[in-house]
Amino acid sequence: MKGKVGERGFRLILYLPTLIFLILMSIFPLIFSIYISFFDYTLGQHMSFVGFGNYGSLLAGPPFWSALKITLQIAALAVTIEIFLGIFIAFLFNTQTRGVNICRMIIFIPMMLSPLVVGFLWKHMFDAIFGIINYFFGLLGGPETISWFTNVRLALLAIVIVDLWEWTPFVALLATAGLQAIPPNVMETVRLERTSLWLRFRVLYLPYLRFPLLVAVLIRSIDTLKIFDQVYVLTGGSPGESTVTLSMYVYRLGFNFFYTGKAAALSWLMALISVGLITILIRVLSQKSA
Amino acid sequence: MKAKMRRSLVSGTRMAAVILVTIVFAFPLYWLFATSLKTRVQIFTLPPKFIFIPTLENYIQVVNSWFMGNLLNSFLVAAVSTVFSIAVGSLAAYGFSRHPLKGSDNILFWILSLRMLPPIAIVLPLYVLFRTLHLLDTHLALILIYSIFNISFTVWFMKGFFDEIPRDIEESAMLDGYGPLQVFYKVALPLVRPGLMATAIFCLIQTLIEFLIALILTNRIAVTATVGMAKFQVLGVEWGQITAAAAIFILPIIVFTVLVRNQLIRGMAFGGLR
Repeated sequence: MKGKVGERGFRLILYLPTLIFLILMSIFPLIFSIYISFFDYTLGQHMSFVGFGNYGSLLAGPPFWSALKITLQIAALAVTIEIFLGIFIAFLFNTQTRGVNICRMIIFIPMMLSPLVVGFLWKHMFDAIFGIINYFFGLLGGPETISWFTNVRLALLAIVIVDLWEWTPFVALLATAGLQAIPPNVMETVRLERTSLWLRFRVLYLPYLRFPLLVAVLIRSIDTLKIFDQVYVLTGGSPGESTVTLSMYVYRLGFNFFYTGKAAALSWLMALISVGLITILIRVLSQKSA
Repeated sequence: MKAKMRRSLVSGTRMAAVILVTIVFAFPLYWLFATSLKTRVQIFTLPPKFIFIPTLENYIQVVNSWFMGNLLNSFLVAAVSTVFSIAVGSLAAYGFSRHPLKGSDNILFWILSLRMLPPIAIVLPLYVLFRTLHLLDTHLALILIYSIFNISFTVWFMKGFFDEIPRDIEESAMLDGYGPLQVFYKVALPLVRPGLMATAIFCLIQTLIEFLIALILTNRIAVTATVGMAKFQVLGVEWGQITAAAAIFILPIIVFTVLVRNQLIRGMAFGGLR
């Protein structure tokens, strides 16, 4: 018949555009990036081969370890608190009462907003003199002029608070999905037996929460390891260089100083960590669906 | 009677807690919009004003500034990249769902991991390439690079929707003499229209809100809204205007979010949870 495409031809139509585009735009550049990473290359100047020299000098210098440390601190703190708060919110919102749906919708908005806008929003609120947050602290009897971004610990805390606001609802969303998967009859039996809260949580809820929470931890870790926008706006890396995250460090190397070779090396180290986590995530996801 | 009272007390406390949590999450948004509607004097008043006479002053200044051009760039880039990614990506999604290749799982893994890689790792080599091709600071460069992420998302997200179509429908169409191509666009595609809409909205949102890549690739001409806002900060523009610009920018995003509310988990957690 006319206009009919065979199975073989049809597959080409289906797969070729995506594969060609993604190979050209990702595999090719990533290989190019490995290549650059072996050169002492300042953009616009000529390249000289240094082998693993870029990797060596990165790992030998304090800025890399400082960036790694602050990034891991942000990730560990934020993800841990998000899990606990997320579970709490999921239980709280897991009811059919009227009006809860609207509340649920409202708390899901922050995670869809631009992290950059989120950064601005909170920077304004964290202002030392005119910020609403210090005003609230003052009302509670605390100090009124906390200078959030001149102290490393407070700056870290501020970054984590912003992350909590943006992403706790995401964890809650996943946990809610877990709770809703519990069959109603299971709920009833456990409710009738007057068990303690902790036992109920462990026996009834935890088996259904374990999977969504594992997914949440993985996705949030992958995301916070590349954190950039919020920190860029909130602290710009200050005080000193103490809140320069891994992504910011690559950005500075590559686009402030144009040390392209070094930046490529570091971006590869970052990509490797991510790929490790992504592999675990996909294992987890595919085990569940299998 | 007593049990009933106890139950309503419990649900009342719970409702109060729900509202409290909602206020905590909504307040920063309220404060953003409130600040954008204040005069300069009102913004720098202590104690902060919660109730005030709103002014559109900041909005008028933003609407008459270069920021509107940035906003236009953002929407242009996001729209073109979304349309392109859906056209290309949903083909592959259908392929993975109905006509798998040998080693499909590995290819899918590769496609998904692209979307989750640190953007800085992808943009760095592309910056060098685009520089040689004189593509820096163009819309095309942004469209190309965002399409990596959007195609990756589309393949994963749409595969889920195609998987849900009962196979019988396509098989009976085959028996009616439809070729594979016709089955795709006459039978399968119309059935996943809601999925296509949701995919498009997610791609739009995720492209609009991106900052780092646009910061690196643009300079004057193709500057997007997020980069424009960051420039406000560098130029020392006041909070009133920054918040007004942010408000104009996030309003459509909030509307989009409400539209895809039922797909949020699927969209944000890679369809891993249903």
